[in-house]
Amino acid sequence: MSDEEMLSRAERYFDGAMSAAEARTFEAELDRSPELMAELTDLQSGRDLLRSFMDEQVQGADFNGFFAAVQAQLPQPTPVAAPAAPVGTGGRVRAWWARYWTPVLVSAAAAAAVALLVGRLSAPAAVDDDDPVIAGGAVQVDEVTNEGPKTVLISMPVEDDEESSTVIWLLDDEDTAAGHEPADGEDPI
Amino acid sequence: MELTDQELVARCQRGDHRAFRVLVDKYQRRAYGIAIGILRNPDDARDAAQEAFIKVFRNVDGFKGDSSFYTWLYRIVVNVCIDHIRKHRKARNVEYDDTFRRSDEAEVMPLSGNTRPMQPGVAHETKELNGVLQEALGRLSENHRTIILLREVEGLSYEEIAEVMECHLGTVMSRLHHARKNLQLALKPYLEGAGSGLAERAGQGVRKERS
Repeated sequence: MSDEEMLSRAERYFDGAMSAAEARTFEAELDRSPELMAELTDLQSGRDLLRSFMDEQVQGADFNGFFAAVQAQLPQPTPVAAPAAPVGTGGRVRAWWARYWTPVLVSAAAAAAVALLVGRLSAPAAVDDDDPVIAGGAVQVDEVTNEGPKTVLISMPVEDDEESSTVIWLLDDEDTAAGHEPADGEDPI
Repeated sequence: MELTDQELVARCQRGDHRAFRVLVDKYQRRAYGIAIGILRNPDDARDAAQEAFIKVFRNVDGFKGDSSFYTWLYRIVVNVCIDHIRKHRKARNVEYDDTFRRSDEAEVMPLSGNTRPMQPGVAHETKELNGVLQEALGRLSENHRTIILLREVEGLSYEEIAEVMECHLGTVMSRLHHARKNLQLALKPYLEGAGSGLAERAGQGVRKERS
């Protein structure tokens, strides 16, 4: 048997690629052939050395941040879906109210606030030292914010003096029940 | 309860990043091990392993489960590594050399330089032996290097290697035979120093595996 054949047979045995009958024949030969045994030994030693070497290479690696770097390249998960439609008649009524009437109320509140201020400016009033002096009668609705059915903030600066701005809160039932009353100087509607 | 690879893959197919993370944590070392064996550079190996996982996630819908997840992953890792080698070869404008010869050619390349026999029990732990192994692996073609790592380190069967490398069983056996022969030649000075004790242990180990 040539060296090449011997190695080839030793490999098939070593890799478990022989049938049981072939393996038995090979093992009988192995007892009589130091060359075959040497081939097997070399195969086993080569495997041991290689495994040990590769284990060291992997053990020496730092896997911190490995997944993060992978994740950064992935398509982002689908955004969370909009909240489910409210269940029950009460929920549907609240949703309908919030959707159609809240903007109307907010607009009305803003108009009312402007009218109120214009009225105050045009009517002669007793001067209160504590009231801010509004120069020139110009009023500006600075910001109207609709934060769902909860709050509307209208800010009207007078002569760039933030401290004298008027703030009007529109509160819904939840806020009132939770005791979120307006602070001094703020007008609840 | 630990999910199987198949279950994790099914979750990944629904876009579940957490399931994907479990797969990455489970296989990152093995993917890196293959990559560093082929590329022989830690940074390149890390990049290649990460790129392979990104490809896994992007193509997970195409995984039908006909093969095991890890053979599919290994195939991707191997392909990424081979692409990497080819790109670098182009980038460096390096001429075709012995390292990348046709895969089935016999490669008999004794190591140059400073090899000397030593007792493997001692040498096994030494940097010198690591250097020799590194050099020996570097002298194998990329296909031979890949196949010997898949068989000897990862313990894949001939059939699994054929799947990973997308070749016939006969090609696997032929490449493995040449790869071993070349590696043995390179390591011969060290293996000869193994002595009869190691020989006996190896022989017994082999017989135990069979029984």
